Amino acid sequence: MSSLIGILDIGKRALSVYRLAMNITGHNVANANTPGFSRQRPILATTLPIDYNPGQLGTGVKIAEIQRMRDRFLDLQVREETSSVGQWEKRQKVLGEVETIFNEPSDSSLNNALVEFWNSWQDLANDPENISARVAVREKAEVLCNTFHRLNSKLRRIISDINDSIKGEVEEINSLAQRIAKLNDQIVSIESKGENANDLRDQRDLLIDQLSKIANISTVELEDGSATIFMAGNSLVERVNTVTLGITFHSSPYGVVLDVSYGQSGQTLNFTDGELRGLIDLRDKVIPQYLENLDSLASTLIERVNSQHSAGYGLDGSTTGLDFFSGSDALNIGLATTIEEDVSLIAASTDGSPGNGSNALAISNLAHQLTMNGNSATFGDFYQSLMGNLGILSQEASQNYTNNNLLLSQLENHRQSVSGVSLDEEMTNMINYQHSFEAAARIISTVDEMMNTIINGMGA
Amino acid sequence: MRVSNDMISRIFLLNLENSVTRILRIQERISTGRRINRPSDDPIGTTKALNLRMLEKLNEQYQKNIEDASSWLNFNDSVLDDLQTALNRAKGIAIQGSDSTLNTEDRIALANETNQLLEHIFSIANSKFRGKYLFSGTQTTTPPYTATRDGTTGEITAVASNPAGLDGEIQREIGQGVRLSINVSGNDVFTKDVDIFQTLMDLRDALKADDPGQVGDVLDDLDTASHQLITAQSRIGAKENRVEGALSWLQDENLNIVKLLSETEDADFIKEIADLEQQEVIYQSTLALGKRIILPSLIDFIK
Repeated sequence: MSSLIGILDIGKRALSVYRLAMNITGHNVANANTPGFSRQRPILATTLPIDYNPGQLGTGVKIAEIQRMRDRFLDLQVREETSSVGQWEKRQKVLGEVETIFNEPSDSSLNNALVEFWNSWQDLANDPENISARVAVREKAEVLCNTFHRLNSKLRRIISDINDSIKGEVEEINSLAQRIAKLNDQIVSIESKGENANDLRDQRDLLIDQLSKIANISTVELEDGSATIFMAGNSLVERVNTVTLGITFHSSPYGVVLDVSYGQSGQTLNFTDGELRGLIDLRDKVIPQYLENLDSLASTLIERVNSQHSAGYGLDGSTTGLDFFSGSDALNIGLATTIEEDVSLIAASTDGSPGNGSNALAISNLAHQLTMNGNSATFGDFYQSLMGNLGILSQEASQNYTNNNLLLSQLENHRQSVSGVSLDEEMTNMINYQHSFEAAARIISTVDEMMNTIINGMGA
Repeated sequence: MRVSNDMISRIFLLNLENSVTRILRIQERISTGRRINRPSDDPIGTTKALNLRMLEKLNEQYQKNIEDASSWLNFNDSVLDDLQTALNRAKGIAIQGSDSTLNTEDRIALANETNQLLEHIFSIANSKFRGKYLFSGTQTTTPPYTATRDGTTGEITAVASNPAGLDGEIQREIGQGVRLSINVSGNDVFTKDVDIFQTLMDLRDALKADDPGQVGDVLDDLDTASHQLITAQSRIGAKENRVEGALSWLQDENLNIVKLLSETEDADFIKEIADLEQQEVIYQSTLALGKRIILPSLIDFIK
């Protein structure tokens, strides 16, 4: 209807639209730093025109929809990449710890303890009649044993720390799943009314992002607006329902280890990416490899030294057949008690005479014999290439982490490009809306004057 | 591309972090002086460095063994020199004593001197080096020779060697798989071709018996004894040479090992400092640029 009141209506509606637009702008500006926030923008549209002479007459503006600027595909890519980053971040961190534990190359490490052990037998061969050279052999042997113990126990400690981490991650997953389910509920009820649940979706997407770092997930959105989340192939969240993940145990050579189990079934979940994948792999494959290798080194050392030692004679000229080391692996390697209590029993001599140190020389020569890897490597070769291998694994983890992080960063930038708030842009919009608001107000006041003219100026 | 504020600060921070990380790594290398501070810095280099470190220590040990061997050999050498001097004096006494113009008192005096020489030679035979008997083979805690003495005069009447034997070899490792025996058996020095103790006792007794003919007979034995001693001495001389040669080789080896180790492990200071300066410039530029991008916004210009 083209009456002045109709025009007032246009003005009034415009004022309210621009007030709303300002509201949205204000919301964007306030949330420019909110994690996971997607900027919103009003979609303006014309209201239904009316039939009039000479044609269709417009009736003003409305906000058709408050649109959330978000690219679903980017979300997918970001989550996949986040899972990779999660995995390699853990690998890099733990392998870095392993490198610190071994502390090579340095003077306080297994490589050094080993060579000083061999050399102490040579010093003994130079002076077998003397107690002090024997005490030195005992001391260097103790340092060697302690080094094995320390490495072994610190590596086991990493395994137990990983178990604790896994427990924490499972709790985190369950907590995130609960919150996502709750948001599903809220989003569904709002969207069933035909409105966009923009901020709630933002929150839900943020939680799903956090979930993707922990393990590999996939998301399916249903028509009602709820998100179904699959983790490691099994459904974790379905509408308002969640499946709680639990912990089960199984035993391993290095103690009890935790598995992540699925709900009631107790079935163990296998992860292909994410922090959990990294942690479990480290705990079950990588760290045990080092523990096994150390055990192998220790047990062969014990066996070969004892074998040579028992062929020799102590200082008394008659005691023979004694072991030097006790124990069987890196955890329990130690000195035989008889030797510890009486170093004169250390078998330096091959024939019982006190000036003969040839058995001690033979023991020190074990350093050059091919005793490891099916008789193809010396003790030194074996350990040194183990360290080289550690270096390669750690380097690989670092590089993968850096690369994946870079990729993730770029994807995040793309996401920000779509969803992020640009204050400059909002300021520009704000100026725009303000002018439009002023103009709309001006229309109202002009129409008011026009009405005044008609009502008060026309007629008698 | 549409740029959001968050993007600007995040990209800036990322670049800054990268720059700082690079600087920190360079600083680590400079402060430790090493380019390999953990295996992942250079896996293959680590394997090499660990091996070289081991070789260096083994090399030092061989040198130590050689020092020990050298000391023993040197001492042994000077002891045998001492013995040679004594034998020469014995020869002089024998020549004097075989002169028929000498009177009995003089021969008695010579006999006493001979007895002193015998005691001296006996104590040489039981020489100790750092508490170990020199001529006892590997029975280093047992004296190689024991003397039977006359009840009244206290003079040595017989010398017996350790029944357990004097021939054991005292070995030192002077290189990987290379062993050298550093001792000389008492047998080779004192009793091989001729029994030196017996010869001296014969000389003393002949002089006491005032028999110049008998004294003259001892001269041949004394000559043989001298040759016996010279043979033993030259064996020691040969070992000393061997050990000196080995030491010189080991010292060269050591230089090589140390050089290789340094090339593998050590940081190149000049390069690191140049890199550091470059990175610092990058860091400062990043900061300055950041200030230009992060701070201003449209708000400053809308009034």
